[in-house]
Amino acid sequence: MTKQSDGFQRSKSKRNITLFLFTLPALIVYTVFFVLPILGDIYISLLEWNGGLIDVKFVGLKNYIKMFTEDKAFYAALLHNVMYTAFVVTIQLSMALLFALILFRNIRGHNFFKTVYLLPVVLSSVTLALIWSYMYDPLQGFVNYFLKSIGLGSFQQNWLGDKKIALFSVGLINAWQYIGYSMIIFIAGLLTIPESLYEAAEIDGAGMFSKFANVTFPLLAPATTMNIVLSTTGSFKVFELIYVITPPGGPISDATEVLATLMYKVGFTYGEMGYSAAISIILLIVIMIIGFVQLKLLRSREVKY
Amino acid sequence: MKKKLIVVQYILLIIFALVILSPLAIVFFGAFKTPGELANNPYSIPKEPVFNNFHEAFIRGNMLVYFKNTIFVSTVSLAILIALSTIASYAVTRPGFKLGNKLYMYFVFGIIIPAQSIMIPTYYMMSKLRLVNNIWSLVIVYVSSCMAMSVFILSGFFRTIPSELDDAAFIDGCSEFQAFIKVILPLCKPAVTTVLILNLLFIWNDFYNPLLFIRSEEIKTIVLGLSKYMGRYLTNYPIMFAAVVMASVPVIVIFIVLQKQFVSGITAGSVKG
Repeated sequence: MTKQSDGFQRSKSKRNITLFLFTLPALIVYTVFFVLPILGDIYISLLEWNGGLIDVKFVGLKNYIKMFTEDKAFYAALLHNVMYTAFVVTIQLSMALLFALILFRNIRGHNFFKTVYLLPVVLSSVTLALIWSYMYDPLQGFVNYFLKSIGLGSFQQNWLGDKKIALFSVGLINAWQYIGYSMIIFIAGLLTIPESLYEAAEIDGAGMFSKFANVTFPLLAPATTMNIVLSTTGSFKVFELIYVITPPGGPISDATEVLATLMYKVGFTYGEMGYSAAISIILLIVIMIIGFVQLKLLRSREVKY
Repeated sequence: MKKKLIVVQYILLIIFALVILSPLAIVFFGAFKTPGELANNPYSIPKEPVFNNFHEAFIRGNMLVYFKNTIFVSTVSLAILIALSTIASYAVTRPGFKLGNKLYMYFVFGIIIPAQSIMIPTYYMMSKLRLVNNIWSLVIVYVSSCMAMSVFILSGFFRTIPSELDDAAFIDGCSEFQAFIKVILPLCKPAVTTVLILNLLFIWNDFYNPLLFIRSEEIKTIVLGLSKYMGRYLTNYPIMFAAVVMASVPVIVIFIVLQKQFVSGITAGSVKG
């Protein structure tokens, strides 16, 4: 290094050190309490451990082998996750798209409807569970009352008490809460489509459906992907709603057991920390695979800024 | 044809608005009814509104304590979170900072990690630090688990501010820290507000972490306290409704006042749910 550039280099590296110090507090908190636990989780999943100080045994992949070869509860929970997610995502996104298509052109009253549709997003899952446990009440609840009053009395159900439908009744609450959320993302996507493309399609004689199929839908792809990713990860890791509405040990908790609730039960009720951690790693892997798509999308959006 | 379409659109919009609003309205009005009136007359405006459900839920239901705890946890967590995440985001977005992009990636990676999956190690760590059943465990968890999304949103905004501004500040004799506090940060108010509201709603509504870490009645948060109505008071829905209304009014007010920032948070790709 020559003497002339020395001062410049020193001030540059000094600035680098200052900036590094700026990130340090955030870096430490995030690393110690968020990143290290992930590594800790991988390690714990290789143990047979009841959470105490003694009786820690390294068992390698035994927990995973047990999970995949003999644990029926794991497969049942995984199946519930898949059914729940497919159900929620389908309803949530189709409704969200429908209302986004109506509202994105700023028709009269659009702000009112957007506000109303977004309202449930800010409520906690416990609040929703309490509200809907009343709505779904087989005797006093509004849902059965409403069905009866419009002549659909035969569709009345014991919504949260029937093992066959309880999981989907919870899923409906989930979709009900987040339709507005997905709609906002669809609207943001729709607004990026240039008006001239619609005009061009109209000149070519395209009707409403052909415009949707050939212009709107393909150009909406980024928003659609983002919505699929968000609603899939969101509903796949569902815990709170199911835990509160069908509490563990309750009459139908088996019918609504998902990976996150199973993991909680195995860890904190049965005290099998290693096995619980192994289940959480499976959940983590599924979410991360979908999440990488999300990160890619987020990063590709940054370029446009 | 066009007119017909518009009518159909409004019918759909109104039906769905009713689907969203009616459960909320039934619970809201139900909170002002006696159990007898709710049973006879569940879906209309209360004839003679009563207020003792609120009194009951507030005093005997311990709501005041829960409110105090929730406000404490959210204020302290958000203050620390904003302080740490803004200064870190400033640093990682400076063009001259060699490690900037790598550190940014490291932070943002956390967005895709579901908090559930680190439950056991986090619980073990808290018990080692003797923080189980201590309200500070929640502060630590919130600051660390909200960091990734906050840095992501803030950095997105910091990047749009031309770096000539820091150079101008340096020429005026500012230190790096002064440039951040006095010049850059004031320009980033919208992004900071977005981060504040998203995380406030997440912390206010979180059930998972209080369930894991809090046992004693006197340090419970609102949502954890609210969960005791689940399965209980089934014969007395109005008291439960009153508790639900009290717990929800603050977030609904915040949402309505800061809706713009909330929506821009959603479209920034932010997720918590």
